[in-house]
Amino acid sequence: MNSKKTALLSVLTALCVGIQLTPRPPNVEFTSLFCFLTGFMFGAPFGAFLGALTMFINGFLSPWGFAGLNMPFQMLGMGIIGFAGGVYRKTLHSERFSLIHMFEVAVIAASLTLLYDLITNLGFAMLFQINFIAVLIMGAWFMVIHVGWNTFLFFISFFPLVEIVKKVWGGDKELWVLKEDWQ
Amino acid sequence: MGIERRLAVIFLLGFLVVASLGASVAGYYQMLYEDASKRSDKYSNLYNSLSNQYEQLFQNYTELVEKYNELVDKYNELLENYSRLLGEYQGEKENHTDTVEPENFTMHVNICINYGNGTVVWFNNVEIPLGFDLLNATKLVAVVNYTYWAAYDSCFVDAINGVWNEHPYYWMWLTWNTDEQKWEYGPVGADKYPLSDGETVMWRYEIPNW
Repeated sequence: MNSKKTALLSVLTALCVGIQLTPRPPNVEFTSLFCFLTGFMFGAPFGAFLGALTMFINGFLSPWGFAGLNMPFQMLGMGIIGFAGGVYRKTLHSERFSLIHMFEVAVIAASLTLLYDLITNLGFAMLFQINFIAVLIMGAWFMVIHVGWNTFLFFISFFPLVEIVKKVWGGDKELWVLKEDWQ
Repeated sequence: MGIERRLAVIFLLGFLVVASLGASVAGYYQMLYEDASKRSDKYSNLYNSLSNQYEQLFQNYTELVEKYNELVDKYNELLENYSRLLGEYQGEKENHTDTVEPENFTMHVNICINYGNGTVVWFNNVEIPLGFDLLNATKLVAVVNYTYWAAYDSCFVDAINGVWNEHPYYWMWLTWNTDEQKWEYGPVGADKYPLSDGETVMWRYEIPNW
């Protein structure tokens, strides 16, 4: 990782943590979007690293309290989301995006958010020695809010953000390599 | 990846998400339903129990009201009787102007105390209330020490005027038989013997014939 990527990682991490620590309703968050976007733009490992690092710092500073033993599960979940951004990028064949892609990314966001909630709920269940299914049921509406929010957020903002980042970055081919063909 | 396959994957993912969330929410409401069902059963049982208790209390209340009404009727009846009797009493009171003399409630007896050493003291014509027993009559004319014996339900005289029973000497009482003109020993304890008007009795310090 060169210095430019390190600086970018630091800025994005600070951005994610800052937003994560901003007072907000539970499970209404932007970190998933930024991690997925980062993975999408700068590669799966980079996105995974950002996700894990953000949740590591968030684990100590969160207004909901010290994450404790649940922190590794949060890091894993967010790391998967960041990694998935990079993987999703590899499945695309063009930089021209359509409404179908917006629906696609919304469904992927819903799946990844659900996966994140399953992982963190598993950590919670292990931490407090509670039945995993019971934890899922008790947090059903939190999951619905989380998944619904991320689905909506990814749908309306992911591809516009991609365009913004592309313009801001100024066509750096090292970081932004697009495939030419669209099938 | 072809478009159709890609759409199938996305559709599958979406289906899984919706199914998972739907199952969780259904589970959540199932849990709430079970909880509410348990509460419902609990409150239903409580209601039935309270209902039974209420019915029982209502029945008791009805009985009490009936008894109260009966008592009120009896009270009114008593009140009527009382008013009637009071009227009769007032009427009778006006008819009777006689006064009650104290002599009608008293009688006179003669009491003799024989100390057994030649000293004999007579208390004649002692006025005592009607029905007075010998012990109480004696206490009017002398200082009497006595003990109540529960086994005999009777009092035993221990001393008269400071002369105490001292084996083999004891205080015995006798009554004068006017028909046979002789003294006879009292058949019971002094406190169980009601005196008669004009009777003559004697306390004698002696060796009993036991």
